[in-house]
Amino acid sequence: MLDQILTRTAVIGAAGKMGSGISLLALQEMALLAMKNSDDFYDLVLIDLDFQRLKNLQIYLKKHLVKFAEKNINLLRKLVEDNPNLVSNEEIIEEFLDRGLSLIRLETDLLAASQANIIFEAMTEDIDLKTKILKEIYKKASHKPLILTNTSSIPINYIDAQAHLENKILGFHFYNPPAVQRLIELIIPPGASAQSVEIAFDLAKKFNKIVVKSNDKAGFIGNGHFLREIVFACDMVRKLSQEMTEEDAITLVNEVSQKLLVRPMGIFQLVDYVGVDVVYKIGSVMARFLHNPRLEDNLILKWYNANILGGQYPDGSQKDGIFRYAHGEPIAVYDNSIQAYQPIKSFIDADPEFSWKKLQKHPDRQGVLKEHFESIYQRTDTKGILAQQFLENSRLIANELVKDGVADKVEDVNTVLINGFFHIYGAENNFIQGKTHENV
Amino acid sequence: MKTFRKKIYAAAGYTTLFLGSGRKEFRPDKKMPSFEQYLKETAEGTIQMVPHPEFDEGIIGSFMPSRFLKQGNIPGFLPFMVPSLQNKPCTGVEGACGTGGRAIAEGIKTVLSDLADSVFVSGFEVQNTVKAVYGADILAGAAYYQKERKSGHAFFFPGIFSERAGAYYQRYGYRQTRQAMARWYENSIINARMNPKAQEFQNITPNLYELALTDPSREKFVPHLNLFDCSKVSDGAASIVIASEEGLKKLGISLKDSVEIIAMGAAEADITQDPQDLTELSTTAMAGKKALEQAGIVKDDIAFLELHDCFTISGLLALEALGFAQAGKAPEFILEGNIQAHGKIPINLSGGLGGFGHPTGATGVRQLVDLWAQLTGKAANQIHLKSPFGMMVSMGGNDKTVTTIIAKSTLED
Repeated sequence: MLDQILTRTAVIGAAGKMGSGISLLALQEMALLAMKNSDDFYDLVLIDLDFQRLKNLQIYLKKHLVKFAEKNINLLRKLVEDNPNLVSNEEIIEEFLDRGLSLIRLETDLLAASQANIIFEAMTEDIDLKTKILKEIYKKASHKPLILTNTSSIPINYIDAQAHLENKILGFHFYNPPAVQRLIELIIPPGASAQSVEIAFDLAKKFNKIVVKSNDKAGFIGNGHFLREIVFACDMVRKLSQEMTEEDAITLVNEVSQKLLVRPMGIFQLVDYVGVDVVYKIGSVMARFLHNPRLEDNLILKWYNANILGGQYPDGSQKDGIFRYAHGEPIAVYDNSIQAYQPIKSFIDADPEFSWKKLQKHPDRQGVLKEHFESIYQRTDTKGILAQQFLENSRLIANELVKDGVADKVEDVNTVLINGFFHIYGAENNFIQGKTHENV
Repeated sequence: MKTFRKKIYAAAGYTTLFLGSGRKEFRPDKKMPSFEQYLKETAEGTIQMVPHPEFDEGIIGSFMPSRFLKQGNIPGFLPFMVPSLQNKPCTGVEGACGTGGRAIAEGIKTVLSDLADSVFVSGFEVQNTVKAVYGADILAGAAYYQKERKSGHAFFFPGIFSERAGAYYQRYGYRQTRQAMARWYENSIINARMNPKAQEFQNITPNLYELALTDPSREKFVPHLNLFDCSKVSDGAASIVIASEEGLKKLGISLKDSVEIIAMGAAEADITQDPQDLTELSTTAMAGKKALEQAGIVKDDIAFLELHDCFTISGLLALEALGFAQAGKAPEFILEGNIQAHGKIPINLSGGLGGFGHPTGATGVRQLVDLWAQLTGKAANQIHLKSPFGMMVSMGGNDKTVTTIIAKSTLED
């Protein structure tokens, strides 16, 4: 059934950061189908308002389609084993590329999606925009396409109701970058049909993704944990700022959350990575739908209003935001009081042998982490205490997500954090010794 | 077979570093050494050991430079490499992975014919110009492409030799054969670690044997081999001088710095035909027999071997082809420790193809360079030799183009 549905696919917001990765995933699968079923018709409509960006997307897709073909040459050879004209790897890869590129259609007209059987929606995280566009597309469609929205925060049932989508929408939230990151949060609103859910699961499997089901509450699991942790971190900064400068407090909390919690990046560097504007918008959505104004933190708002936005350049490199970066590492921190960057201090000496990167492939990772956190719990200095609080707060959030009906079980939160945020241990773990800290 | 009508010597051997994945210097994302650099380096390496480097002829072997480098007319590079070869006869030779052995054979024949007293013989290949997935198509040209490529594995030759391994497991047993192949790999790396120019010289992986015991997986690679059973893609060059006694004198090379080539066995099989028995290298057996007969010695007189282990299974089968183990007994022979540096018949003290690397056109010449180095006491991985004889097997394709050489030390005991 999925193979039949995939014959006509559309991606809205195709040229964006997430849209381009989703486009690639869809293209790869459709090109494989086209190789296998050479007489069938396939149509992948890639839609974006910016035609130049669509042309750039085409170049990106070609480059990555070749890499995909090279990596999957064994599969391709099997698909064409009955074709005597395709002998060498080079010929087969060229054929795959030709087929793949020929099924792409670039469009700036959003309504072109109405012909698709399955629509990936990857527009900016704007409630009104999404509901308006999807309403128009669904209305124009002569059949009833399945819509998979990449929203990371807006309740799906809200979009469904506002856009009159007759329960034909599911949340299919990829992590950045979609072509690489293995996690998908599948948000199933109450009215979704079993068939739609089955198609979504099958599609995630085709994309070789790990699927975590989230219930339809704003922010879902990933942002549910992330935003709450940001608020906690901002609270820590405010408390520490009573004894040090705000920018030092930001740096300290960032370092604690990275180096002592052994994460790929600190909490504020992660905000920069995602984009302050994106975090702000997600926080606003969650505050609105969860009736929790605390999720719109003042510090985030202050940066947003000062146009301190972070995010990434098209080549994936980090833009300046809360921190200024050189070769991907923070070298200065934004000082709100003078609206300029100050050279960054380091509060924690890094042991190059003990880092998130080194521990990822360590054969006794759990043992090393256990020892590390035991030593954290022996500390009574500020940094040690901060680390303990952060750790405990993460667990608190995870359990609250279950209690609030966002996640079915705490293991799902762990799966999201490990596979989506690249944590090397879950929020619920054996390292925590103290009581779970109350949120400040 | 008759002995040579006059004495033939090899001297002044040189090998460049064999570069490929495994070496820290291997950076395919950056500018890599050009083939011209390899050619120049190996020639200068040989010339430096020759007081009067005026050669009569030049021979250069390479398998597929026309595709890897879009370069043909390879003999034209000999005067570039060796200025004294300007206006001298220069010849290109090709025999797939057995190119080097054939290049040496041509050098020997030219000297025997009296048309030359000394020949500069070289071999090279630069294969990292293309990704492995495309390189596989090029290397498939060592087989009968029209017949075999379509049904072949994506990476081709691992599939070919996987079939041989599968047939061997079925006839003689899986577990012991796998253990022997793992020991072969271990031996290759241990020896490579003694050779600074070897591709696996910097390999510090512990537990080599256990690693190589990883069961093959059809889903991950090929049904009957794992990645440790396979030599890697390499770039490199090697060169050596072939000369008569008169030639050595003219070049100013002393006898003690030379080895005598006392036998050469060559055999060719019909490339359009499948091997009759996948568990035998019959062409290798024929070439080996010819060489031993010509040399007038038996296999037990050989002190060490350089075998063509493009895959561990091909090394194992070569051992049986030469008679060092009976059919089906090579695993036992290997597991008894006989092929190690201080074993009964040390094999691939260089590291062989698996350890030193395998730039296809260079390998055969590199093997003779290693025979020469070991027999003149100049080897990086020098051992005490039980006899003055060393033997090499240079094999092209799936046991199609085979040259065996036996060299003898000129040093007094």
